[in-house]
Amino acid sequence: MFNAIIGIWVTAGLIIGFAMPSALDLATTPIAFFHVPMAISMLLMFLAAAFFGVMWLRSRNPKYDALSLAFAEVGFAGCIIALVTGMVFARTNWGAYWSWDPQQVGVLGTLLTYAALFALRGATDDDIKKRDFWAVYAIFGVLVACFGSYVYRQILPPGSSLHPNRTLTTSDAAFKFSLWFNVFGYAMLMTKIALIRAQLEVAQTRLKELSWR
Amino acid sequence: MTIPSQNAASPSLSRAIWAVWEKDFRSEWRSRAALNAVVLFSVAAPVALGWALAKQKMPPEALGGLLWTTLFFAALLGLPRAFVKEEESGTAALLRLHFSSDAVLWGKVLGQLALLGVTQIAAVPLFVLLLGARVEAPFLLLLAVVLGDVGLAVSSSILGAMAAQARSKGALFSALAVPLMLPLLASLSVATGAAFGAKIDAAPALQVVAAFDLVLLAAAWMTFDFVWN
Repeated sequence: MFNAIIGIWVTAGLIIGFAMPSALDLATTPIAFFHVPMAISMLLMFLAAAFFGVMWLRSRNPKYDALSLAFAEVGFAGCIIALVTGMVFARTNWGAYWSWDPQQVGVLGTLLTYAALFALRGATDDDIKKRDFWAVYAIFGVLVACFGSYVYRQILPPGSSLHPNRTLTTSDAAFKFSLWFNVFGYAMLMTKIALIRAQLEVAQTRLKELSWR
Repeated sequence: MTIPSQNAASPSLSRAIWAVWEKDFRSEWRSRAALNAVVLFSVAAPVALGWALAKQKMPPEALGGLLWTTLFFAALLGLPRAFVKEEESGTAALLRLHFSSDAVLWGKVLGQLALLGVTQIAAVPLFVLLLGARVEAPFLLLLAVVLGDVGLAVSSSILGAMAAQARSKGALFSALAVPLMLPLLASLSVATGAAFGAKIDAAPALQVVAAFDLVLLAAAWMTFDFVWN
């Protein structure tokens, strides 16, 4: 039932996005309803990964480690999608796929941070250490994600970023509704995928434990 | 050096931090491995930059970025040694036995700060001299260096402790540290560019560095025990 609701929600979001008239300052609008919600959902996934990392450190329940891993993986995939769709968005609106826009650089930095997190997990043999290191780095990682997604362009002089400022707050009501409708849809979709991935991780851990008996 | 025996009463935190720092200082002073590598890189990098960019007038914003890129990569060379050498020489277990994780963390952070400070006393004036930077706001530059060093020292301590216990220690440290230190590098470049005369407001960048330092300090303090023990 929940899967059907998510499917209908995301499809409706896409239709609404394509039905919207062009927004102020943007040459093409529909991709905004995919790219921006994906970037916001990515940040939510990384926050969830850090939260479940803290839960693992507090409770030592491997379920929380699996959830943290799953949310980070889904967030990482979302980060790649946000970056690629952002490049397409940049090409149509500003004439180049890559223009060292602070927001682009910030998302690339976030991608590198989580790639390092996966490298750290792969380079640690002891299971407990691996989960501890993961949780600690996930906490630091979300700081970089927040900085790259929002803070960095705020500290630069006005006009340094090509990204339109305050689109999320100053656009008309229909635009804001479409945007947040899609944010909610993608957040639900990514959460569902993360939950399935976490179940797989827990099953894999149990199988590994059984194989040693 | 005052390393208490197992039978002695636990030393106060400040004495334990001092003992960890002193042990690191003495061991580094014997070999000077990290110091030599970091100082030599910090000195060689501006020379190489000067050669590559000969006679080109660099804008202050770019000079700020180049200074921090040099200091940042110099730090990557020497900072992971603090924990890697403990694991390689088998002294990590002794440290765990004798001192609390807080003492180890803050002792190592002080050691990293000392290494960065000594390096920058040589590297920053040389950079300014060779690349023709005009320090128009010395206090701002000093503030940026101090705040930057705190962030680098804290993040390199906790990441160094993780990388030292994993496979491919040195390479992994760089992979972990580069993305995590990007916010520092970006903000410090903006603030240092302003110190070199760029017409930008340095306050927001310095506020970000200060906030990032505080969050790093708090997060490192709360999580180091999980990483170390």
